[in-house]
Amino acid sequence: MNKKSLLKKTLTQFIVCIAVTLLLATPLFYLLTKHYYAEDMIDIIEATQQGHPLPAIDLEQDIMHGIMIQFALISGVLGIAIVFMMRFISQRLWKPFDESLRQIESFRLESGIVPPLPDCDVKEFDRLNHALTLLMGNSMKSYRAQKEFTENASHELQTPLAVFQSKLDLLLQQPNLTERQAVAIQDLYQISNRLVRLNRNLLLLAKIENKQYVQMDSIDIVACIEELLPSLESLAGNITICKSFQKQSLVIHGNKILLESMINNLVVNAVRHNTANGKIAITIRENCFIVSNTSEEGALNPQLIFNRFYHPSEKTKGNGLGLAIVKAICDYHGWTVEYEYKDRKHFFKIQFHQEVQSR
Amino acid sequence: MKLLIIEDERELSDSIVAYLSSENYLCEQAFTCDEAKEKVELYDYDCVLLDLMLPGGNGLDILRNIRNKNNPVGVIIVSAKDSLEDKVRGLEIGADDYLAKPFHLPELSMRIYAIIRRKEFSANNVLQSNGITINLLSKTVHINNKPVLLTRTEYELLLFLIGNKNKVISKGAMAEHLSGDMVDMLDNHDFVYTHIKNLKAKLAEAGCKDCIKNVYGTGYKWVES
Repeated sequence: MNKKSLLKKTLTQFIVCIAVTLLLATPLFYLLTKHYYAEDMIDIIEATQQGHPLPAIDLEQDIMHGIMIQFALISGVLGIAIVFMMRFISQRLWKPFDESLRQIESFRLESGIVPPLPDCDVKEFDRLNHALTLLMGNSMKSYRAQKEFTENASHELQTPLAVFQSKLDLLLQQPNLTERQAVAIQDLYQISNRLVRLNRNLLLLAKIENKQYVQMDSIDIVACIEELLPSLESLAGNITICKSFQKQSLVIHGNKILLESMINNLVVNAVRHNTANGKIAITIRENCFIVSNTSEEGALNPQLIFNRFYHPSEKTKGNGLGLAIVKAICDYHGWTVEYEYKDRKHFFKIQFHQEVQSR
Repeated sequence: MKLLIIEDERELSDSIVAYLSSENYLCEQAFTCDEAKEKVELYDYDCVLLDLMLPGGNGLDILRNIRNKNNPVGVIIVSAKDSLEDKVRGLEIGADDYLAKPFHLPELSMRIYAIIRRKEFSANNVLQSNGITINLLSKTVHINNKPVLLTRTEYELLLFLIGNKNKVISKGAMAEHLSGDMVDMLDNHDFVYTHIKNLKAKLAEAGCKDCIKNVYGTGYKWVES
């Protein structure tokens, strides 16, 4: 396609428009000239030719009058024509730009799709579109590479971690283990456990972001909680978990593994930040699921609490990924998660937006 | 009992051998795909531990070879790839169990034990140690012919301990065994202590004292006398 620069195109279109306007305005000027400006002249010339006496006309005033009207009309017509022309031309010329802009506004890195930008015959816009396509493509590539790196790195770490853990298991079998050695092994176990958990959580996050949980089912969240409750209760120890279900069942559409992971993370988080003989309440209401717990900690910043590796106090208890996973799972399914601090209790509320069938 | 350990990470393979050898298993190792295929072809094993990512091929091919020959050997996949698809594919081809890396050696030993027991035709569903009789089918425990009522967790713990008798099991391994892989998030494994304490009390009451030895709070051991 023959591509022109923006300036050249504007000028061409402008000239064409002006010519059209002048052409259209010609009859108007003709009438104007004939009836207001030249009508006295015509009278005089006609009188002279036929030998009549000259009509009594104040030529000077009449001509001035005519010129003024003509001037005002020409400026008016031209002015209006130019305003409309500018509007028309810029709308026409900038249309591909608007189109591109709309496409870019809808662009999301996570979607994995580079929006197709329209082809256009303006050189500058074409360059812009090319540059944008390249930019988006490259961003997408590096985003993908980064995500894959996290996943691959986590996978690669599993084997050395397995070696480390197995060596510890073997070391513990040594006869005549002294207490000091046992304590050292215990410390190493804790470190190993932390590493394993951190790695698993990073892997889980990477997999959610890479959209590897495609299997979607209708799941009854009430049944799901009942199923998980025994193991959660054994983890909770002296902390009581009370459940209050307003519904017999709440069926949602989602991935079972992720849903279970979300419930586990929320409850474990509630256990971890609880007081010695505290309480955890699991509530099911119309379209929503709430976990609340007592805690010694005060209100937390709801803006930051779902960030990765966010540690509100130096008394770090978890690895700072639990709530980030909850958030990622909610985002993945299109649910919302909210945090609230009320009556000295922390509330985490999951709102399922989709249509649910409940009995 | 003969085992084949197919794992390319030598250190890990050696650790597994060291742990399992002391449990009266005869362990053989294979480090590459070809070596593994050859050994599976030539010898009979009771159980095969199979890593999926091997130099020279995919572990699933070895599994296919085994199953195509109607070889009833028990196969446990041990993989770094902890994804559901891999797990499902492995089990579909005919693996008996799937264990994600990293794992605890007592857990592995327990899984091997379970598979071998299941494969045996004369499946002995009664486990005995120190005068305790456990019926694995009805999940009941008797001491000196008197029933002992245990919770599900205590029962699992007892089985885990006896399954790794005379071995020290770390608290972490116990916690993971009890709560599965979904709830390995707590860094505090004190809940194990509570369950062990209750189990010990119940066993002692029924006349089975000092079977569970605490190793400086790091782990526990079932001492068979």
